[in-house]
Amino acid sequence: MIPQSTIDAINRVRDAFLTAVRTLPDVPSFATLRQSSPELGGEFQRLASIASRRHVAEPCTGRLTVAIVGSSGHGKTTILDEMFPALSARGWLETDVTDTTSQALALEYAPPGDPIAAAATVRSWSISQVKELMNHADVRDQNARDGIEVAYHDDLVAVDGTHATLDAKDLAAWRYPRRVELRPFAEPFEVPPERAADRKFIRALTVKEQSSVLDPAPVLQHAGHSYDALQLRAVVESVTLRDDFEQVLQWAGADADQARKLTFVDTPGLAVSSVAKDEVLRHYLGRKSHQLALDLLRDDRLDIVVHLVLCGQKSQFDTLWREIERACGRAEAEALAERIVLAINGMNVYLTNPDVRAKYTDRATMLREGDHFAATLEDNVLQRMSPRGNLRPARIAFLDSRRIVDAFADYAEFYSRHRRTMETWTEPGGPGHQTLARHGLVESFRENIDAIADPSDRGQGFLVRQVLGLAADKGATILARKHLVRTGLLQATGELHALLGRFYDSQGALNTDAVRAALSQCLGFLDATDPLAIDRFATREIDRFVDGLIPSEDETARDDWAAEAFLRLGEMVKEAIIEANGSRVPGAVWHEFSRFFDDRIESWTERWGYRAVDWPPPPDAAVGTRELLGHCLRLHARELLFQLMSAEDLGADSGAVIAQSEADRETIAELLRQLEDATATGVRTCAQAAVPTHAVPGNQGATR
Amino acid sequence: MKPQSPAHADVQSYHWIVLPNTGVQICRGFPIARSVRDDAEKLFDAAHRQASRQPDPTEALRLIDEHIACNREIDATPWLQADPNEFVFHRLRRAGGELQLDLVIDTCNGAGSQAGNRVPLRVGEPSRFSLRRSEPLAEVYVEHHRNARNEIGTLIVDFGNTGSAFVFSRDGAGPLQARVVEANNPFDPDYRARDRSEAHVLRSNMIVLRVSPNEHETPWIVLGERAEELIRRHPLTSYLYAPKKYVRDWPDIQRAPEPTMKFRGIAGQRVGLHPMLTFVRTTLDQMFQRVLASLTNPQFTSDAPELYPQIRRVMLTYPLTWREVDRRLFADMVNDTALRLFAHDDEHREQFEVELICSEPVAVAAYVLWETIFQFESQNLMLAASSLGNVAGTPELRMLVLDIGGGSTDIACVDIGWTVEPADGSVDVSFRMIESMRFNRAGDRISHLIATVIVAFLESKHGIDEPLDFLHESREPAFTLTQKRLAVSTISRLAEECKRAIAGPARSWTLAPHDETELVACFAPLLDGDVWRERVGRGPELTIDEAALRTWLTRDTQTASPETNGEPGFQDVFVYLAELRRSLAEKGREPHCVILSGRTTRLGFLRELAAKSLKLPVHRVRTLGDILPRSAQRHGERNLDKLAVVFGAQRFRFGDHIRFQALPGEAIFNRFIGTVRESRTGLRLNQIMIRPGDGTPKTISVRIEPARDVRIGHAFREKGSAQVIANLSNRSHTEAFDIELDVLDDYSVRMPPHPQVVLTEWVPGGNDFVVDNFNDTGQIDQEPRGLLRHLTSDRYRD
Repeated sequence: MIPQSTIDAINRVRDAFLTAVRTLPDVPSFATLRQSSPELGGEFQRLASIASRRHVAEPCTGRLTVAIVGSSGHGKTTILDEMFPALSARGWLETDVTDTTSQALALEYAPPGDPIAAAATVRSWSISQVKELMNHADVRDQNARDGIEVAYHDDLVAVDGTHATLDAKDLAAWRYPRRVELRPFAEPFEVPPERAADRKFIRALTVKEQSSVLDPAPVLQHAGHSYDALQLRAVVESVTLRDDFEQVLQWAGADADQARKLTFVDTPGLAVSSVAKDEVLRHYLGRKSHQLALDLLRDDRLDIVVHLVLCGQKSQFDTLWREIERACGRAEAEALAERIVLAINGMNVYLTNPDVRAKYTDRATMLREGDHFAATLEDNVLQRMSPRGNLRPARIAFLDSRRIVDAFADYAEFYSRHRRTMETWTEPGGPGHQTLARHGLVESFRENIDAIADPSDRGQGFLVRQVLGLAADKGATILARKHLVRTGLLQATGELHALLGRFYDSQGALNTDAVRAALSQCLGFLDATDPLAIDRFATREIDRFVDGLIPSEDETARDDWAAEAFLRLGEMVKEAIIEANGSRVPGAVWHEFSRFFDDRIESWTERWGYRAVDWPPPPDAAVGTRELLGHCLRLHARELLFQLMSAEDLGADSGAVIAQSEADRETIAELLRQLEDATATGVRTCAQAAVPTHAVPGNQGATR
Repeated sequence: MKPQSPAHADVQSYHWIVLPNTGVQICRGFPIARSVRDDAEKLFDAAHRQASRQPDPTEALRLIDEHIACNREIDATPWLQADPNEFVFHRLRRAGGELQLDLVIDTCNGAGSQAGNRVPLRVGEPSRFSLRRSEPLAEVYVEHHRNARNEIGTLIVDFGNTGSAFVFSRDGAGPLQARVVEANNPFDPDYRARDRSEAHVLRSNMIVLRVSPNEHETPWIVLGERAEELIRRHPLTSYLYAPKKYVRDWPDIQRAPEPTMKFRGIAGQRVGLHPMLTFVRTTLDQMFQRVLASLTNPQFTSDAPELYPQIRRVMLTYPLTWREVDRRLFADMVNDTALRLFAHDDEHREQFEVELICSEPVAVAAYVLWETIFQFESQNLMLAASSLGNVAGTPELRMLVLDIGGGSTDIACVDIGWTVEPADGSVDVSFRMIESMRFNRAGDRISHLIATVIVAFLESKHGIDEPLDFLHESREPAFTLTQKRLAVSTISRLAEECKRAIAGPARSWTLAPHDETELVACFAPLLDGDVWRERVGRGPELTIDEAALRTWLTRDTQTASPETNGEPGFQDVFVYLAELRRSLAEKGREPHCVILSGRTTRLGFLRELAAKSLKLPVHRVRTLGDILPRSAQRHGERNLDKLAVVFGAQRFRFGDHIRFQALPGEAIFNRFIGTVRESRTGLRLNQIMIRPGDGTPKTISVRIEPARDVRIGHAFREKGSAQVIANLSNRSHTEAFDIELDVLDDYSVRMPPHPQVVLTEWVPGGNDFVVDNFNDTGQIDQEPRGLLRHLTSDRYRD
């Protein structure tokens, strides 16, 4: 189970952030500051925009989404059909067709007898998602090549094949209009129970019928617009169904509570290509399945990925992986590996296919070609899942389908007959043992054998338990990473706290006036209108002394030599400012300036990276390190002066004196407290969940 | 050295081994056969006699004599041609009491292009000369590529308007082991006087030295500084300044405006007019020949190939705003050239690919990032980021690359993020382009301004008011095109010197008397006798300082004259930067730092102007040389502007533990887009059809009246300065149309084919308009006429 404390902590951070973002615009002092400084306005807007991100806008419920990803023809729907027999009975899982449409099927838990279980929710893509796919280079080029014209409007995309240059026979077979408008739903469409049980409607939504039998008439009316099956195929992202998870809960045993919090998502098959049945939308729909899976992963809507591969077949996951890398970066793709459960479907193939059998029954074949697991698991799957190969999924499960096995034997009898053979694979020296051991699978495979031999489990239950096991192990990590880190929520919370800290003291009182006055007086010798003023001052007063701040090559320095040097630089800059001012600055003003300056130096030592520097100190410092540090110090001397001068400007653009009421001060103080607490909570939660965070402002204990 | 057979060394000549298709190869100081060394004096005399007996030397021989990169100060015989139909040449030279040969062979034409050929090099006719004449002095042997020491690798190319740079990265080599190809120029008799550091960057201007009417014969092309000199002397010959600007895909409907040129060499010509792209291809071809020649024979002294680079991949950088079709065209051109020129094993030929790796500003950003991460090491990236201006402590950086080159200014704001893999310290860096723009205003505009001032000075001091336009017939017939050409290139040289002086510590330039003499001498036929020489030493002198230049440039805006027709001036680059900053600030995405690249940024005040426009302190606006301390720089400061692009591209792909990835841009518009109109304050949007934040792409409908044009443009602000991105032209004189246009992003517009309406994409500041091109045309201050003189009027009134 995912600890409730993790979920609560995530929501605490979220609440504090959202409260601050919603409250601040109405706090008079902040509103005035925001108006008077475009930089502050921009900064606040950037941070506030985090609030609309999917996993910030909605609270964390602890639910995890489990996506079943696999290529067409690998038995995905057959397995789901057996895992969710009630849905199958309702006709939503069509196993007798290979040409299914391109949307995700989401299966959520609903208690038995709950009326919601009979309904369904259809969600569509947004207009930007439709546009993105239609404008994908491949789709665009193919459409242009075939004379299919596309117009992109605010709320719809119109695809016009009136002048298409396709084969005349092909065009003659078209049943849908040549001009199709793709208009995404503004709101999800709730399918009433009677409609959700209508086989014709279900087939229109889930199956690509042969043109000879299809009905091109509209099948759905929504928000004043009608949609035929082709249009639905193009705009629908997912259909959400509810089920009592009867089988799944049985298999979950003690983890039934967690199992109820799972949403299973059947994603459309990988590596689908365009088909003539999609008529004018053939090129668009040829890529839709892929794009859909990519979108779900990119938006962090798939927490655990079950990659299902039919035994003996090759994984095509790498095509998706490449897209993820291209869209999100390699690090994102790599992070996916720890959330993947590999499901090898069709255990019976190991026992019946002569080629596979030869790999464990015939020693010569085994020596020549590797054992059966080396071929089916390593070569066909693990080395093909990522473009760089050798992916190590978090868990691996073997399973089978009763319907498939029953087609040629009695399931229980079949596995009872072959059980001993499978057991030999787990014995040292037995065929396949070496490969299982290499992947740390020997123990789990023993358990897997028990499950697969059990006709009521078939390894499907084992798979569910593997998913639940992964949820227990990694659930907190997945949630913390998804809600706090990848959304930018934690970082933004820290930054918002730091932003407020530039204008208010910890009691919520505006400190800008006093600080501004002090800065203005102490830095008055620098002409703010001259872009070279800082540079000239630093060149004259600082640069030549910088080398003296750095321990010499033969000196034995402390580990924090870089931070030490930066603090000394701060002292030097302060001295230089005193020098430049002579005795003109009154003591009280200097005191205020000094307080502000020291506070900033402390913070900058952290945030500018000096505290975290990990270079061996002299005399072990590598050649050039001292020069590099000197280079940084010279730059940061200028940066430091620039920051001070900017602070002097903050909120001063309007020239207005900002009044602050007691209520205003209290509100700000409370927000500061909440944000500070939230930042610390978030960092702690991430640390506990082993989720790396970067230096979150205002937090001293950042981890990687 | 490979004597044929050691046992018979006394009677055998040495072989000079070359590889086909490696350009014009030279071997300086090749040893002659031992068997004839004793007869050195006789041999030398015989060579002289033989040369004098060549009553009608071939044009190729004459060109070799005048242009080949061999020492002219050495005691040497005239050049001899082994066979008038072959491009193999030799001469004897005396060096330190020893007799040697200088050898030349064209490995792309004739005998040199066929593996297995042997060409004996002799002096004298066997029947008329008494030396052991049956033995050649040396023999050229054309070897098969497969027998050379093959190094398999990737060639990374930055093809620039002013200069091009090449890096060869051997397979398996680390990022620091890649080498810059120092391209030698075979047609440069003054090669010894050239600055060696310039060899890292090959100047891209070219002139045709020799062209045969036979289309299958590879022309001889001169590149670089020598080309510039020859252009001055041979104004009627085909030449190109800034070849890259002609890389443009012309759809059939727009073929009419595609520029063409005659194909005429200093020797030889081909009939008809040829698209400029042909010359770009020829230039690329020549550059690749140089690369091969330089890798096989780095100093032009190798008697056998040092190695043959088996190039299985060519990686190209490209200008930011090139359209997809232009990029493809460029890649296809390179692919064709490479497949024709490069020899591959069958296996590698199949694998061969040309890859458009990244845009030039992204390459610069990758270079900066790679070097910074490498120096700081992955555990200290917070310090690295703060040194580049991100003082928030986050693993990100918004870097604005401001590349002010010779002919265009590229602006790119890149959002960079990174993650460090704690297990091995590897770093994944992602790039996402936030904003980009190109202006056709850069260093050449500055040169043009200076040239205008020089011309005004000539007029006021010497009374010279003759137009230099090459097409304009002079009042005085003696003032020929050659003299105009010489005058233009002298002005051009002085303008460059002026820029260099202002970029230097003096920050000021004065026209020296000897330069003034040289310049005025170009106009001698227009002047009365030599009286002008007396004026040179007296009277007003021309001085241009940084402040003056800065003032003139600040005045150079699209509103400086009603006749600019909306074309941006130099200052508009900075107007744009200010608007860009405002737009980014509103989104909380201001750049953390600015990287100045391109030679023109050596002018110090540009840094200040950029800082001011972007409201950044000057220490956050850095040249490539300022990114790291001097001790951490490795490629030499002088050419860093150019090498950063090619090394950045190389690091982008072969970054070792620092991996780069370009992420797709956001699918939203960042600008207001609509129709454009003129206003007193410059171009403004008229009817706005797209707003920032709208999703891309979007179809807009535009009404176009008969025989009218409608311009489509974008702007950061509703009422801000606009830039044109496309022009619609209705050819019908009677019918109006409602046209649907797909606006794909802030820069790209597409229209389905229409029988009457033509869409022309204006690549912003892009490659379809060639401006400030006075080197090619002699037209000074004609865009619009008198504008630059108006901008600099305070100076010329002096």
